[in-house]
Amino acid sequence: MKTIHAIETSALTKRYPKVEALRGMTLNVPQGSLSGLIGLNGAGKTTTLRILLGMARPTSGTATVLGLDALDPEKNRIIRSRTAYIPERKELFPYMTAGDVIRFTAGFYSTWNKDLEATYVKRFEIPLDRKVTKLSKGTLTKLHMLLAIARGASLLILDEPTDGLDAVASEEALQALTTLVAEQGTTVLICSHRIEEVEQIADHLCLVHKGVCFKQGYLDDMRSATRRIQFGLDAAPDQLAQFGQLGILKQSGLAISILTDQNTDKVIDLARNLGGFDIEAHPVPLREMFVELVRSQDALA
Amino acid sequence: MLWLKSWTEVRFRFALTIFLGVYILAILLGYLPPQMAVKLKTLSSQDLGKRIWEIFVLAYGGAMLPVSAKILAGAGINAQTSMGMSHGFHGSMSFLLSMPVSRTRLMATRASFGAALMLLLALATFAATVTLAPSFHVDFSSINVWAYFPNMLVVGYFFYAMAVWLSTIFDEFWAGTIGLLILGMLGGYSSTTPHNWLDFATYLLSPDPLQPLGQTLFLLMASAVQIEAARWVVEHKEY
Repeated sequence: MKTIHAIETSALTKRYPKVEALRGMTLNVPQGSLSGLIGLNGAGKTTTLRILLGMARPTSGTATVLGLDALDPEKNRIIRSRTAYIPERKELFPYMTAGDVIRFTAGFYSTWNKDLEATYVKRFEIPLDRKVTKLSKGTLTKLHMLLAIARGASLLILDEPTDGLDAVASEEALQALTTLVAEQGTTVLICSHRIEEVEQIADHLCLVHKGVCFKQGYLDDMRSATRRIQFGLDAAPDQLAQFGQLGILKQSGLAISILTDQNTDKVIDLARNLGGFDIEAHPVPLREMFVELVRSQDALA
Repeated sequence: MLWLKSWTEVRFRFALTIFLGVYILAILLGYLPPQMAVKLKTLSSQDLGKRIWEIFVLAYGGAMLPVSAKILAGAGINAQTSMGMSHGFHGSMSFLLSMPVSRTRLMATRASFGAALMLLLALATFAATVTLAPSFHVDFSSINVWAYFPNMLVVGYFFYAMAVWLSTIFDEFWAGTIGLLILGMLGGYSSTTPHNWLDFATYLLSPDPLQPLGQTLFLLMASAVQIEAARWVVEHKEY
């Protein structure tokens, strides 16, 4: 069955006078998924989100959100009516109280859910009569989360959504997101550099580095396909090169380690054929996978 | 909802512009007349009233109203501060721009609201000056005071449009600084180079409403061009 994508970008590039923020970003976020957009600071995550929401224009490439052309200003307005966004800088209008901001935001959405609003005002303990400048960073983030959840959007785009939250509040916020996906089928794209946090809730990942998405797919598929294979081998350089074609190779004396994606059986067979010993294959934590893939991208560059 | 936002962000600024109006009234009606009466003993009360009126028209229409225009146009387009001239663009812009509203509508609502407040402010200041004058023994009876109002408004809106345009490009600090600099430069030019389309002093002191017509049309066109420039910048700007 063909997967329907809530977000699709193709070869997006964005050049600023002194920096190339995106170098061909191709993303596919399945509808109804809770996707993580993971990358280091400056990887191009926020620039991508800004393009999707019409705040910036790409130098080249295409982008569709909820089936609409995100680069067309009028279509983008429709996209924004069905999308909630939590920006990286979580400031709100300083002259408004938390209650004012909620009323203001609710006015733009016919799908605003009063029950959800009341639930999350209570759960997040939002002081409605307090100016937003007087709110703690954590409460401000929670207020943003409430504004995103209650508007009944089809798509939530969250840029570092748990920034400033303590562990308990962070857990609460992430729980709210997973509930939303489970109950309403909302697509959520979380942009973050906190890999463990995203791994905890996401079912789909896009790994980005230096303006390119170098790996994407369902988390379970990534986990099952990616293995670290370790063995001992007195390998000649040409033999090592063969392993290098199947994954990311590390060698320390006789100890060989290959991080491979989809090629586990081939690596094991090759190791056996070349006389490798003590062959072991281990699942790889996401963080480790990400770090090694990023390093290999840097080495290729 | 955008009207609510406009009001909440501009209310302190509006209060400040009222204070400026009260301040100029206090000087104009409370302080100036006794001083001038002593120095210009030979003038009749009506002539003294004419002098004071000219000072009001030039000081309020040529300086205070344009400064008030700058204050009222400031927040809400790039910056979001209700008070002060803050550096940089406020983080809430990203949240605002993620709303399902066109940028033109965002700017138009905010700019219209500020323009309406400026009209209210100018009317109130004008009316207060005329109404309170007799209580301070200032005689404006020989002047058709309301004839000066349209020109004052045209000049005020010229500077308001400039402030809106500047605030789409610069942050509040620089938009304010550049706006005041331009006001000072035009004021200087106006006083040293009379009888041209940027001679605001002669225009403000014209006893015939909207005369000279060429200058009125020029100022209105310039205001429209600046608003259109602001709309263009807002639509094409990247955040």
